[in-house]
Order: sequence, then structure tokens, then C-alpha cells
Amino acid sequence: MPQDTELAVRTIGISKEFFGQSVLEDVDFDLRWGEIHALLGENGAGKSTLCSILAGLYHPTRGEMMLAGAPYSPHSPHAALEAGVGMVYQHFRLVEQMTVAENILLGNPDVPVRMTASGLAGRAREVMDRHGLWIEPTKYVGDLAVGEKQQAEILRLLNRGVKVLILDEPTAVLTPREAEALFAALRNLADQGRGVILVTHKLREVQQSADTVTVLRSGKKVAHQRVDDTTTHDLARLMIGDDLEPGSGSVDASHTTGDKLLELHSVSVVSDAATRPELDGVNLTVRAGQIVGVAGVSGNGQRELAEVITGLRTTTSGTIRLRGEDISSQTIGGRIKKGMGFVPEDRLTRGLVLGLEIEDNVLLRSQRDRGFRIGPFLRLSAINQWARRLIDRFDIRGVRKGLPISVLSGGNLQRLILARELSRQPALLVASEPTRGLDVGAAEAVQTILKAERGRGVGILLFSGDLEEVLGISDEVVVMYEGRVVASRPASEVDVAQVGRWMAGLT
Amino acid sequence: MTAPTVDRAAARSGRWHMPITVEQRAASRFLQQLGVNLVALVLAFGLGAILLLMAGDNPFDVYREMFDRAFGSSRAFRETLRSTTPLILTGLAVTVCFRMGLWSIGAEGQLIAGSVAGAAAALVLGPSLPAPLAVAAVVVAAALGGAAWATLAAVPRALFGTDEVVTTLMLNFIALGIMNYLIFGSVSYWRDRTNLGFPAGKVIPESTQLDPYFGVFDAGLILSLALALIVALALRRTVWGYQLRVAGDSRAAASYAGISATRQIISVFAVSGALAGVAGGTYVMSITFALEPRAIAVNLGFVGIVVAAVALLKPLLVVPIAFLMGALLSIAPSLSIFGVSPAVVIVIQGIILLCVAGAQFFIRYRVRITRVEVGSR
Ligand SMILES: Nc1ncnc2c1ncn2[C@@H]1O[C@H](COP(=O)(O)OP(=O)(O)OP(=O)(O)O)[C@@H](O)[C@H]1O
Ligand SMILES: [Mg+2]
Repeated sequence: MPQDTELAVRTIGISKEFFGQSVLEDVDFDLRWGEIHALLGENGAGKSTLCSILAGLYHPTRGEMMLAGAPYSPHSPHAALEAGVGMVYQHFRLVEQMTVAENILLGNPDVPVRMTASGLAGRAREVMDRHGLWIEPTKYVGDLAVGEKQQAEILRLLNRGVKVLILDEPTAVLTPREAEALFAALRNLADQGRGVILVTHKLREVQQSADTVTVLRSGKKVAHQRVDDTTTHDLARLMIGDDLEPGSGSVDASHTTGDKLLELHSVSVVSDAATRPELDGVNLTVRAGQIVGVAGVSGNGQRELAEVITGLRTTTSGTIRLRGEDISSQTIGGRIKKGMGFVPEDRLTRGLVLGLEIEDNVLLRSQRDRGFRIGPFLRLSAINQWARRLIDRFDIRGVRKGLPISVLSGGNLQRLILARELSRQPALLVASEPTRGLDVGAAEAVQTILKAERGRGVGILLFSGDLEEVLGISDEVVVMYEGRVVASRPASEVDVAQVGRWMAGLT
Repeated sequence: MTAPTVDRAAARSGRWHMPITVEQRAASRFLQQLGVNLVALVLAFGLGAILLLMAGDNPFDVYREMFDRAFGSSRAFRETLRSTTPLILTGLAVTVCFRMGLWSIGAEGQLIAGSVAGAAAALVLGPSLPAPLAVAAVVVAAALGGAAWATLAAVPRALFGTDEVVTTLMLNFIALGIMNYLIFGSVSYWRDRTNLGFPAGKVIPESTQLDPYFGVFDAGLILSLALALIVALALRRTVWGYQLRVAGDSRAAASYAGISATRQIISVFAVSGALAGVAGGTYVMSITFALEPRAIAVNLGFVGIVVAAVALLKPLLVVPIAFLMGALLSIAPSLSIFGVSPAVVIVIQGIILLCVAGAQFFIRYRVRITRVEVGSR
């Protein structure tokens, strides 16, 4: 790929304000051709905002940008794409009702409007071959796994000829193996001369996969270095600042395991008799003061299990008991009242009400609590105070009075859900991917809180794609494969390799 | 994670290659929204003026005349306020449903059901009860009638997900048919049997007829203002209103919060129907004084949709908007004397709705003229 200059993208003094509040301040950012450039920073540091500016979604309040040495100021994502800059958002922009091939070729000016399915598939295969990525082109996007969707999204951008590829937290939703495949593909693209920008919170990924790293802190650039010259420890320090020591406070409070809290007896969920059951005779016990970690490749029944326990889905057969009482047919509201906390996987669509303000969001699931209402009336001042306390205690940043919470950054939204669900003193907490999207400091804080809750006697069922997290804080590890529990062992007796084999369906 | 969802308008604007920037607003402030809508109103009157010019009228004269006829005398003002009352109530009825994402267009039918029930209560109880009690009885009966009519659409929606747009629309026609039948098609309890001429409704007893205070406004207006306040408070400060707002924003979050969709849908429909029903009851008590199909079925329910939309689904804003629309409605008949077709008023209403609907784009997106720089393509 012939290039005019050494620099792919250069921003000069980029600033961005939202409603008069500065989010980016004088950021100079350089991306070279052929490099994978990691963008690091705490939750709310401004990473997504910077990426969105480069991709033409937002417009900087001040500052200039260059693309391949020429002035660059895209007035829309489409214009950015025409100029060769494409972004993979964490929420993919694919059309689920269309096939992979259609999605990839979508909007390509050279593809004739009328084309047969096989013709399209052929064209899509060409694109895939050229870039060394492979997904069955005739599949519908709605049926793809997350990792595949992401690849389809990348292929779509590549097919439009992007020279600069921006990925915002692409690995947050991937399993370690999918992440490795992604990095291999990105390396290949960089070797072909493209520039790649990668936002991530996982410092190890930066060390293993990126060439350069830029660190943002509170909207300012605080470092730009070659990755070889840093350690994960340096990076964490740069992100958080010198005042905070990451890795502290992880003293494991001694705890005793109590009575059986949650018991599942041969719980099955069959939504379609033609396919394999979503859940197939699952037995599971969580005791008070115990963290049970569920490991498994995503799509092996974890989501269904969490939903069945919390009442979002009904069982086809089997019983679920909470403190000995059968709750299989209880409503969600009834289970909430019995002390069930739930951090759902779909945090944006289910866990929060994005169009409402923070008070309405901290009230979610507690709207019937005596503390927050008198008869049918809400106690607005009590709710407001509660919201302030949670903002304080969980360091939720970016809340603006009078604005819906949709203005919060991804990590801060996750903090808000955790703050709410952890603070209502549940007896049982079902937590799906609690640390997804959190910066290192916050992720550690959440793990510390989970352990503290366990110390108070709370039973925790933890779903996480991060095997180390599962093994690191669980007392008991449960492995799911094709809707069944294939192994259940004390965490101290298993290692990553063994769990990995179980996850793959081997014994 | 903060990437907004599909940004179609922005994406499309890129294809125009115009020096115009369209950026999705993550959020916009209330005052901003209000400002945009007021500009839309001014624009609507501007477009109306062009229309009048094309029809050969002088827009300034017509608008001045319209203003005089709406507010110029205490009689005119009273007429305006009389149309305001039912519009506040149907506007509130629509607001409540729309806030939960229930697209009910059934206020018209519920208003009719409320009129039928209210008139019945007035005819049955009016003669034996003292005035305040009789009026209260009519209000309650009208509310129940409207709520019951709304429930006919609510139950299938809640249980089977039947499209409420279709059912509420059908129910409007059925309600109208029933009311017409009661007066024109049969010798029903509501019909005035002493009158052998053109079929008419039986006049309600004096105890249920609302007299205007100071010759200007009556108890119906006070009731509607109070209800606007109550709806605003209910949305903001009650568990019911909270659940409605959550369900209106995200059904998935509502079920996660343990909010029963069935119950919430039925109760919201019932409240909405009750509000529209009260509109019918007060209309009978202060304007028609009888079940008069041709005076009652004048699209107050449909105009309520315009009122609610222009008021951005804010109950307190419904009041001034209903007042404005009420003024437009009340002058429609008298305009023809002035040589202008009453259709003008309807057209202006339509233009207002279009302008406000169009304005929503500017609320969601920020549009700017930008320099086109070399190399930006
Ligand atoms: N559209 C918006 N309106 C107002 N404020 C916004 C908007 N978008 C972002 N912000 C604010 O800007 C700050 C930076 O947000 P950004 O999404 O860039 O953070 P981030 O670095 O991507 O964080 P995370 O790791 O949590 O995703 C946050 O405080 C956020 O609340
Ligand atoms: Mg982000």
C-alpha cells in the first residue's frame, strides 16, 4: 500500500466539550502506518470520544486532524469511511436479518444492486481470502457468535477499503481464543500497511499485541510510548496516576461457607424441540458465603442459566430453590423481594434505562422497597441521596443533572449497575461479566467488593468469560458445555488447562 | 460502549456531500426542545400565511381576526376555554399512553363512551342529587365509561400483543356507531322522546349543567387543570409513574425490574381512557347538555394527539398547547362568516403537526454549516 507520509493519522490539539464540560483537552495523537496502536485510559478518560471524532461521529470543539498528511475533517461517519477511516463500535452495526455476504458488501458502490445469492457469496469469499478472515458467507448475521459478528464487521470495513481501522474495546466480549484470532488478523492488517487503533482495558493484551500505546487520563494525553519500553505495571500507573496503587487491597477476608442458599435440581430449558436444549438437567448449589464461578465458552447455556435463576426465563422442568423454598414459578418481582441481585449481561438494554436519569436508574428493581416509597408515592429525596451515595462510593463519573445516563462512558455505566445491585444487600447475587469494560483499577475494586460480600455471607454465582477471574476469586468452579454442567470442583483443585479442556467438551 | 446506535441520518447526510454537518445529540435539554417546538409553531403559522396568500386572503387580517375571535371579547375567550377543557383531557389521555410507548389513538372513542356514560348518570341521578354530588357522579361515570372502553383494547394488547393502533381505531368507529344508534337509530333512554322533530338527546337536569364562573370558565376547566397537575405528579412521583416511564424507555429493563407488563399496560390504558372519558362527561355538562352525537364527535380525541405531540408528552405543557388548539378550534366555525374557509384552521393544525414532527429531527441531531476543506473527501 503506497503511502504519502509516515503518519497515518495525526491530531493536533483536539479538544471536545459536551455541554460546556471538557472531555478531551489538547490531545495530540499520532498513528503510524503499519502499527497497532493501543489507546488506554480509565473509564471516562475520553477514549471512545477520541475514536468517535476520528471516525466522523463527533466533531471536535477545537483542533485539527490530518490523514496521510492532508487536512482531514470528516463531517459524518460515511465521509470518514470514504476517506478510509472505519470504526468497529462495541455495538456492531450489522443488519441481523441479512447474510454475512450481504452485510460485507453492503454499501459497496461496485456491487451491482441486483446480484444472486451465490454471486454475492462468491464476492464475499474473495474479500475474505484477501484478508485472511473467514466466516460462512451465507449465514445470517443474527445467528453468528459475537466473535464472528466482529469479524464480519471488520470485513465490511475492509471491503470499503479502509486504511485506518479503529476498534473500541473489541475484546471485551470475546473469549480468550477469539481474542487471539482477532489479534492475529489485526497483525496481518497492520503488516499490509494499515494503521490500527485499539481501545482496551486489558494491559496484557497491550503488551502482547500492540506496538505503541497512548494513555489518556481525564481527557489529556499523559503518555505515548513504544510498548517494548513499558511494563503492565507502568501502564497501570500511567492510567490511574501516581496517587493510587493498583493491586492493593486484595486481602482475602477469611470466610466461612454456610447453608445451602440456591439449589438447582435437574433444571432444563427446551425452547425448540428440534434443537438441543438450552439447559439440560443442570444441578447446582450455591451456599451462603460462597462464590461459585461458571466457566464456559459463551453460548453454552450460561445466559439461560442466569435467566432461569433470576426469573427472566421459565424452566421446562426441574426445580429451583432459594433457602429451601421452591421459587421455580415465582415472578421476577417476587425473587427480587427474596433478596436476589442480578447483574445482567445486556447492561445497556436490560440492566439500565438509558433514557432516564441517574435517580431512576438506581431505583430500578427497588421501586417497591419500603425505603424508597410511602404507599404509592416515591420518596424522591431518599432516592436522590441514595444516588449520591452510590456515585461517591463507586466513583461513577460523568453524571450530569438533568441529562439521561446515556452520556456516561461504557465503564461508568457498568459501575452504575454494579453499584446498584451490590448495595441493596442481596442474599444471592447472580453476576454476569461484572468486570467487563471496567478499567484495571475498577475491575480490581469490584473483585474486592465481591469478596467482601461473600465475607458477609452473600452467595454469589459469577459468570465470566475471563477464566483467570473465575479461578481467581471463586471457591467452586462449574464448567458448562452444551447446556450441561460437565464439571464442578473446588477452585483450588483445578487449573486453567484442565478447565479449558472441559470447556471444549473434552474430559 | 458509548457508541450511539445506528446513526442513519448522519450516515445519509454524508452521501449528500453538502457542507452541512449532522451530529447525533446524545441528549438535549428540555428548554432546547421547547425552543425548537416554538420555532416550529411560528414556522407553521408562516406556512399558513403563504397558504392564505395563495387563496387570495391577507394573512395579517385573517390572523388578527382569528386572534380577536379567540381572545378579543369575554364571550370569545369563553368559547376558547370551552374547547380547551376537553383538549387538555384528551391531550393528557394520549400523553399517558404514548409515554409508555402504547400508540393508542382511541381517545375519540373513549370520549364518546364517557359522554354516553356521563349523560346516563346525569339523566338517572341528576334529578335526585344536589348539584355538586350530581356533577361528581357524572364525572365518575364518564371516567368509568372511558376506562372500560379503553380496556377493550388494553386486554388483547396485554395478553396477546394485539396491535393497539388497529384496535383503538376500530373501537372509535364502534363507539361512534353506538352513540349514533342511541339517538338516531332507536328510541333509547338517552333520546328525547317528547321531541317529534329531528332526533335529539334528552337534556340533562339543571343540577348537572355547569355554569361558567364570571361568565368565563366553568368547573370542567378547573377539573382538567387539576388533572394535568395530578398526571404530572403521578408520572414523576409515584411508583406507577416510575414503572410507566421505565417501560416506555425499555421493555427489557422493565421486565428485569419485575414490572408486570400485563398489569402496567392495562392500568395505563384504563387511566388514559378515564381521562378521555372525563373529557366527554364535562363536554356534555358544559356544552351539549345532552347526548348530541353531532356536537360530541368533533375529533376532540384526535386533536388530543396533536396536543400531546406538540407538548412533547409533558402533562403540564399540555395545558398551554390545548389552549392554543382550543382557540383554533373555537374560531373555526365563525371564520366562514369572515369569508375564510374553516378548512384553513384544519390545514393550519395539520401544518403545525408536520412542523413539530419535523422539528424532532433537530432535537435529536445537531446540524451545522461547516467549511469544506480540501482533502476532507
Ligand atoms: N454525548 C455525550 N454527552 C455528554 N457527555 C459525554 C458524551 N459522551 C461522553 N461523555 C462524557 O465524556 C467522558 C468521556 O467518555 P468516553 O466515552 O470517551 O470515555 P471512555 O474513555 O471511552 O471510557 P470507558 O472506558 O468507560 O468506555 C465521560 O465522562 C462521559 O460521561
Ligand atoms: Mg468507551
